[in-house]
Amino acid sequence: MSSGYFLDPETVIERLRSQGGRAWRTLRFVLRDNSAKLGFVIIVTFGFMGIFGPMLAPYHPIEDTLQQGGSMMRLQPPGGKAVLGTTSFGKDILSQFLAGARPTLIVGLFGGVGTGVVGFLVGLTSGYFGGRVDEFLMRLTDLTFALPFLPMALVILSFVTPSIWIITAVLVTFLWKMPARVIRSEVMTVKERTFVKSARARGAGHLRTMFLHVAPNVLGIGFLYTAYAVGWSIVAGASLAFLGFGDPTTTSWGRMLEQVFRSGAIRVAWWWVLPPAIGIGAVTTGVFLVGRAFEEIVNPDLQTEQE
Amino acid sequence: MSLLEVDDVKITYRMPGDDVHAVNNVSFSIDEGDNYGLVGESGCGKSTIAKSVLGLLDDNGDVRSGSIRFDGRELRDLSERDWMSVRWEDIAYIPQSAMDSLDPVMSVGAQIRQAIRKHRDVSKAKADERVAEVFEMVGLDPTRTGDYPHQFSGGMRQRVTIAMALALDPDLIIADEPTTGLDVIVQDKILNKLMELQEELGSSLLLITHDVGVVAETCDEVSVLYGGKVMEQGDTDRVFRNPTNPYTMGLKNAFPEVDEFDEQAISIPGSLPDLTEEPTSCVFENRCPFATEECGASHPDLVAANEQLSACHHVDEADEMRDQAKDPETWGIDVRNEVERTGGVGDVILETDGLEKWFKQPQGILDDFRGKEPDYVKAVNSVDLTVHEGEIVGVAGESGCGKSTLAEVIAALQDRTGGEITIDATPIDDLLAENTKEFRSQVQFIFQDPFDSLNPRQRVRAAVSEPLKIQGHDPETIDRRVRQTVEDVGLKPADKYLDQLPAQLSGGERQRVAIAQALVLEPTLLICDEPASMLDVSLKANILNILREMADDRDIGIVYISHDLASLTQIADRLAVMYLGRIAEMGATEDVVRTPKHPYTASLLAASPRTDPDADRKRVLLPGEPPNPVNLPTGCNFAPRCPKAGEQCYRGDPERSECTEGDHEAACYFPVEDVETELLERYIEAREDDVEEVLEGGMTP
Repeated sequence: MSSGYFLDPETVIERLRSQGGRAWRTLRFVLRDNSAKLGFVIIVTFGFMGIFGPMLAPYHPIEDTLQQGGSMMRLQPPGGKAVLGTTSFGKDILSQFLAGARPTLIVGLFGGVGTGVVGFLVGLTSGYFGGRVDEFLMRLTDLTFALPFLPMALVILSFVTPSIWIITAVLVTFLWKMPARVIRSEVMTVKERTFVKSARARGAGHLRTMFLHVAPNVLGIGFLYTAYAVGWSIVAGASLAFLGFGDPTTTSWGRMLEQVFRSGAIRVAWWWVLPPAIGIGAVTTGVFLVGRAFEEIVNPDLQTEQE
Repeated sequence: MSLLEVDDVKITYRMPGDDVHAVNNVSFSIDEGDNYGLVGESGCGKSTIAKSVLGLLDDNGDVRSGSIRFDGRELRDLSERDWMSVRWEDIAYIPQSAMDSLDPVMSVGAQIRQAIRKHRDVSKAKADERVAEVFEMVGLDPTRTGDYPHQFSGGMRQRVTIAMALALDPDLIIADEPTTGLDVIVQDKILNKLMELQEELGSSLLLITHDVGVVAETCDEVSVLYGGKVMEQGDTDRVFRNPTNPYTMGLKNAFPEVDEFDEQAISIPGSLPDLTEEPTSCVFENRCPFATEECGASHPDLVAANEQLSACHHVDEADEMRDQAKDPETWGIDVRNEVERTGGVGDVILETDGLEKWFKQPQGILDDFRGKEPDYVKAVNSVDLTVHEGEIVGVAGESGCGKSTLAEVIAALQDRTGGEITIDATPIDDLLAENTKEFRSQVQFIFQDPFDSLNPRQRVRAAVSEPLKIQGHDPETIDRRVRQTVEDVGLKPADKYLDQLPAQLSGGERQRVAIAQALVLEPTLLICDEPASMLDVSLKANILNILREMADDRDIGIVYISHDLASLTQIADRLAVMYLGRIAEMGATEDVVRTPKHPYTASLLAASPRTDPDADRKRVLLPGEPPNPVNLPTGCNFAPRCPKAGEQCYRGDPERSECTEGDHEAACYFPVEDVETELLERYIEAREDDVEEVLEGGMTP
């Protein structure tokens, strides 16, 4: 094989650098939108909580049982020792909320990025090569479209002990089809543009054409769907946890909701329900707000924005 | 009173940041029954004016001042409701691209009927009658009103839009580039029809085009626009016979006539003025070879010059300017000492022998199973082509004749299905077998559309150095050769351009980058597929000059593919004319153009519009359309449309050696001797005799 079929490191570095600059410009452009600013603040706060939350928590979310006057603080409304109240087992809700951000962040981030990357690569390959490759990969996506997410996920998780990484993997398995479909159709449009044929005429191999000429021009949509996939993953991860298929060893927002439901106190203990519910709602909304502002540049004219 | 009076109109577009002053103080008027032309290059404001007359300016466009009166009524004050009654009823519109302007899911008849019933309270049957009537008027078969747009060819679709415009008998028809994108022969027929109809109906026409030839042949009066200003205005004949404005001179001289071999086309240097502010100097000042200080101070008013109006500070020197404007040196073009165009100057660099590219038509699985021979589209059918070092071979033909496929097959961008290609005495298979790198360093390609052929994310440096990187050169060599090549194609100094993105470059500059990409590997064969057709006329000549230079200085063999005969005759040493996948005629350019042998070549040449308003040209009313390439008739492909065809033509397919005269070959049993009497007059007779046959023309894919 000739070197034309490989990417030389110099070109790759140069490309990555220019993509970095592009990301920065894009971010600044996105943040001109007010609701995107709000979304961005939410995401940053959430990221901060995900990283430092467990350290900030005043108590251990599971091991510490709050006592007051010798008895366990059961279902205490906010106030006193427990700023956000307690659970029916006397655990501090603020601590659970802060600690619960991390698994949610991990599921969201890795589930989203994993979905984006797998979907992008599948879509790129499928759209670029077409023919049999496309046929095979698209039938595979059809298959994942045909399988209902929750029942299948529940079946899988019944056989293995759910850990946060397994849950992330399950999410990616079921979500990659969305970006794959969209990226594929986008690639098929870009592929027909003259500059792709021109690259071939200049001697570029498939790999080079695919990654240096086609990919950068669909990257925007890829990121957009990655952002959305973060939102989907958080919601889907929380749903699984709510149904009792979360990681039993960690506290996540979805698991908090499961516990409040199980305890039968869901109608009264608003202080137990609201923090995780608002948390999930705010983060997904934040992601979508930024995604929406981003979509405006991706669609239709990412090209003109840089001038 | 005039029918349409546009008076001192200013139109701006609101853009993020700055307003763009697209039209500045433009005035003109159209009398009843007149043909009025607005001519200019892209960005001159001609379409903006048309849209403002129709009240269809984009949302960010505003008519700032001035008035647009139609039949005495001010159009600027109309409400949306009033507009509904004016549009189509009084002012109809023929859009540029008939491909997009018809609804693909509605039959064409229903679309016209809809326009009629929107405005007139008539029964469906009555409306259908009218549809049939206008169909007949534009020369379409009235029984086809129930067909859908995709069932018509490009030229026929354009007729449908004309029929639609005529449906309500409007007083004014605005035609925005009605024939751009159509082949010359079809263009000729459409223009002929348009003129005929207008004569008949007595409506006025506002024709918007960039093609000086089209305006010169069809319009009574003309305004030449540039940078949102009227540069010259008046009687078409006078304006183009004796232009008094340097821009008109430049524009006219940029359009070479097909048979002018001695005159070199000029191109206007520089680029369009920045219109984010109202022009304070003459809009053409930065590109005008005659500009003086005075021109920088103010934009000249339109003043009477000869019998037309011209906006130039130096109108009184018009005669001298006109002489000088013919000389390319005036426009900063290096005149090359014309190398004697002999053809076959160097060694043979490309040879194709019986080259074939057949596309298999899809067929049912059952037919496959039964072993039925599938149908083929013979896009390229036994083509023999030879290109020598330092020679430019032109390939001419209408869209769908297979010329682009031929180019891509030679460049190995598509596989061939038969025949041989030899590059520099090595069969292409041997070249490709080793690795494609070697092949790519010898054969390079320039694409048609400079706006799409550069990766929008790649800077010039990356784009031009990519081919070298693929070949595995070291960074120093790459840098040196990139700079050299970028400067060679006229992007000087290289540093200014290397870090630009394609979006920051003009069309002409982009095409140069594309040429640099192709030349940086120092190929021995360069294939150009319509490299200048997307560029404004004033830039075309530049690209042609670069290619000529490369052929002469670097001994590159060039295959230049185009539908534009005028630029082909300017650049090509030898010319091949293709019709339906075969080369109909081939020979030294001058021989082919002066004495065409094949009736198709003769028709094609005769169909080119002339910029000289005095030229009296018979229109080429070649009957029918190219037949469906799937089921080609036996015998000569052109026979069904050829007035000279005899029985022999239907039986046997003539070889190119059938009619030879030195190097000049034509695949014809009965070569043309006199174009006028043998073809043009016969077309008109044939048309009168048998209109029906015209209507039943096949479809182009």
